[in-house]
Amino acid sequence: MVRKQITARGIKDERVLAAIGKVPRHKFVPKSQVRHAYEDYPLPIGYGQTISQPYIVALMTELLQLSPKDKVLEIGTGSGYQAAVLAEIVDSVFSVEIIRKLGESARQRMKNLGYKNVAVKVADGYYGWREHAPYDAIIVTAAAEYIPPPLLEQLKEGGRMVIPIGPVFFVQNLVLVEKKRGRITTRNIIPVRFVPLRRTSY
Amino acid sequence: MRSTAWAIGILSAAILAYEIALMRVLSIIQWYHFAYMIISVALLGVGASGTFLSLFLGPFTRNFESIFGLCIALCAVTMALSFFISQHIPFAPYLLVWQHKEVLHLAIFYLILFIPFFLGATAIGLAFVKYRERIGRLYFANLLGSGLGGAFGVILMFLISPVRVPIAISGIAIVAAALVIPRSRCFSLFTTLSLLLGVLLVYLFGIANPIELRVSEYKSLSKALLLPGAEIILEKSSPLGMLQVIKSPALRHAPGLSLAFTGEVPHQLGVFKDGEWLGAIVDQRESDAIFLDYTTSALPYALRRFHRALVIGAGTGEQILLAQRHRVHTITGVELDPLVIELVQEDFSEETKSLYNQRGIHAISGEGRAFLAKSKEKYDLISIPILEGLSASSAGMYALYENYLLTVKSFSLMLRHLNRGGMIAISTWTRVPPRNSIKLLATLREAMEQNGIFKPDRHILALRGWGTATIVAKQTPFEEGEINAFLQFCKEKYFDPIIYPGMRPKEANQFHQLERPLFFEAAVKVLSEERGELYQAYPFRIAPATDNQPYFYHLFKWKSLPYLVKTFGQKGIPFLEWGYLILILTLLQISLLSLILIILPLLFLRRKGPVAGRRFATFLYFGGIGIGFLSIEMLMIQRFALFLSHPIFAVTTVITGMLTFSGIGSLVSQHLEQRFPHLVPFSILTIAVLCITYLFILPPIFAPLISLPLTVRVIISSLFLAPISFCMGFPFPLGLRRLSIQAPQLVPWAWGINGCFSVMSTALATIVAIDFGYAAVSFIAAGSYGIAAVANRYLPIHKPGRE
Repeated sequence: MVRKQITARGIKDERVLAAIGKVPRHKFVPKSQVRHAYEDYPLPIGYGQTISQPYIVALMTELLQLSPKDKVLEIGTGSGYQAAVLAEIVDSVFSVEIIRKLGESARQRMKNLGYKNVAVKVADGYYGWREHAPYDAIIVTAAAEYIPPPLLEQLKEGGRMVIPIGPVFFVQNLVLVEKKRGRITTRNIIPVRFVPLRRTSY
Repeated sequence: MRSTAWAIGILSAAILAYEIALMRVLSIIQWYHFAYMIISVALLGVGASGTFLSLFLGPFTRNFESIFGLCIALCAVTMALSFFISQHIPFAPYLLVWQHKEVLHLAIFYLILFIPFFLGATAIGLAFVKYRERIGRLYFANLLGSGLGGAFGVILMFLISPVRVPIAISGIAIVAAALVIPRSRCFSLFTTLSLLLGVLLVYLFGIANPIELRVSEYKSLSKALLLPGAEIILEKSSPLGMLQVIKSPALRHAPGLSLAFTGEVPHQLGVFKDGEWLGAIVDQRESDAIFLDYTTSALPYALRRFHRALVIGAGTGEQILLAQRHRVHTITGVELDPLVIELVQEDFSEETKSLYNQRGIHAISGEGRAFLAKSKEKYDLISIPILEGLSASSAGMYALYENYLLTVKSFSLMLRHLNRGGMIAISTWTRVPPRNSIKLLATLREAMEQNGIFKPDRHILALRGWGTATIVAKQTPFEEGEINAFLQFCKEKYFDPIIYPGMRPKEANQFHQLERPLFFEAAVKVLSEERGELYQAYPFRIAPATDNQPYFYHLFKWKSLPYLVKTFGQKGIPFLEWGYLILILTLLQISLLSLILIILPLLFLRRKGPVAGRRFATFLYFGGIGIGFLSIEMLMIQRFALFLSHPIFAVTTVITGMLTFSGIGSLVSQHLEQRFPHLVPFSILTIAVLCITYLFILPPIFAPLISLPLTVRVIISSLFLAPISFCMGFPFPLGLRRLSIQAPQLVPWAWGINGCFSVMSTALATIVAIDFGYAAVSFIAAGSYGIAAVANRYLPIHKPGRE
């Protein structure tokens, strides 16, 4: 999977490749989907949510240009797969999930798999996670119509955010947000298809 | 015989009403396209019944009464059962591309809903065969019943919740069955039991324990319900749609909000129509909605003060609020759905402070184009908010929706309603590569040219934010002060200009960076002489939308497929224009099913004797009129959607009108043919002539009449439907009658062919309309009838007097 779907599409960052290679994706999907776990597409995990296709996870992680000492905030834990990948690369990952059942099972899964550096909170991701701000990087894994202002605030100067933005359903653009000298700029990366970020779907 | 005719009439009404009710329900739980597939499923049922009949013709006609009665009873029962089961099939179109299992779910979904139509059509078809000499009268009962059934279905939708309508209709079918309970003992028993079961189901699903609508989990309503503390606090329904209001502390809405906004987006009540986001109700007691100033839609207000503004598509009033914040003196809001206005005015009058009643604000219920045609007022600002539902908009889910507001003629009309120095402001979602925004520019530019503006680049300002863009077009060239204000607004709000007079390329890509300044480059070409080339070369359909092809959101181009594959990879294609692709998928699927269920079995029936050579002629004749009839029906529905303001009124008027008048035609067909032996070719000629004539005369005739009350417009539409439909009532029964005498085994085959091609034509006519325009559909319809006229000469000849 790593070679075919990810390296082949241009992901070069060694750490990202190593992380994806290490995290057992099949442990993050429902039993009925296990045989598809390593396929090149998203899978449903219930509550109208999906786990992203491996390439997208790798791409978003690579775009963040992480260093091992970084503090990362993730909005939309879902299955926890992305958080696990991040946890392989950086020191601390803080992840927020709005659907209680998903958040709790993700938290349990992190524990079972031994990812001690991931903290999961069940809350409204719009507000980020104020207590541990600011973050070197923020990754949003559900589509939003706009960037919630609190997230912009919690991003460190010089930090990067990756977020799929656009009309909430079907197609959005994966966007890289950078905060430099107080100015915020964005760059369109590629069109993607994410499930909508719960709160901002409307 | 009389009770047979009545049973057929009532059953036909039930079938049609059921079809329309299913379309409504499917629009709510899934998307409009799937609703649209119901027409195909119904016709598939009809077609397959023909095949089924021809296989069992002997035994069925011998036991006519028993089979007839039983079929109707089973039809009634399955109407309720199938609906119930269909609500439990886990169909997720979102996953269709990746999980091929979904195709299976889709197929099962079809087949479940296909059953009641199949049973009903079998009963009707059987009666046609049994009483073939009096087929005119039965056909009349069938068509009149169908016609009335359509209207009845719509009326029911005003009275009861959409999920109960199909159940109520099965009750109607039970009445039909009760009229013709067989006499033979075991059939009678079985039928009566079925009827009792039917009554039980009606009670169960309709009254005691109503079926709950399971809205697809991928629709924005379902997602909103997952928010913490979310609950539906109000529900209202009409044929125009089902409105639901959701309250949750986590609900916030601000399309394309500026990156510069540091305040709080206030929480709102979310209003959903058919499961999709319609608009938000901002609680004005708590907040002053300042965040609205940080959306791209606020652009016009940065340029100048306005005294009179018109908002087309007022919805829940956000744009009205914005205008009010900027102290516009007189604001007129036009909103199609009166229930939405009711929400703002009555149900949530405290939150909105009765917005539409406030000083200087008027809300008008009606359709935008009709309002513009009627109004003599002129405005400083005409504002069109983002019309596409936030969800599903970019997937191309709107590709099949006729939109007469976003056409050249419509913009032209708007330009004429502007005061000197007045502006039109339109907002839309943006995508990369740019599509909607460029198409808006193209359509605006065309309209401006028609109004004598030949240097459009001096009359347009446009900017983009995150996901939205706003374009402002002015009657007179923009002044320097306004351009400076524009640039200031962009800078403060971190928006990028798309185009303004004198813009340089490097200004295009500062905040929301793309690899190339795509928006700017496309916009420059649109406003130049090279626009024709751009339209040709661009990977999406961005040529201006016109009244002949009013599908603004149809953006897909087949020939751009190679480009799309290269850029997004194979998996990327379905990301782009789903709605259209679903239509293609429907066409393919339904054609395949038609071939399997209708044509294939018939090929195994042996034919002997003189009819052997007539099969091809029969095929051409009944196929031709199948395509012709349905194409004209789809054409009229789409054309009348503008005149009658909403597709649902168009659907009902056209289906009811066409079926009624063609029913009358078929009733008199026998008598007339005795006096005019060449009735068939003559009627076909009339149909073709009228079809082509209507293509040219309807738009100019309808345009000034659009401001009349709806009832009057329905009557006028019926007057136009009458002559063509009346003639369309001749070919089918006359041809069937001829066959029934000379080659009775071919009758079910003819019925099947007709059904099969009718099925395909629903999808085909729409594809042709959105890809080539209405003119093309008209010619295809006329041509199909023409082929039938030619084939008519080779059908077995009926000699009058020989019965």
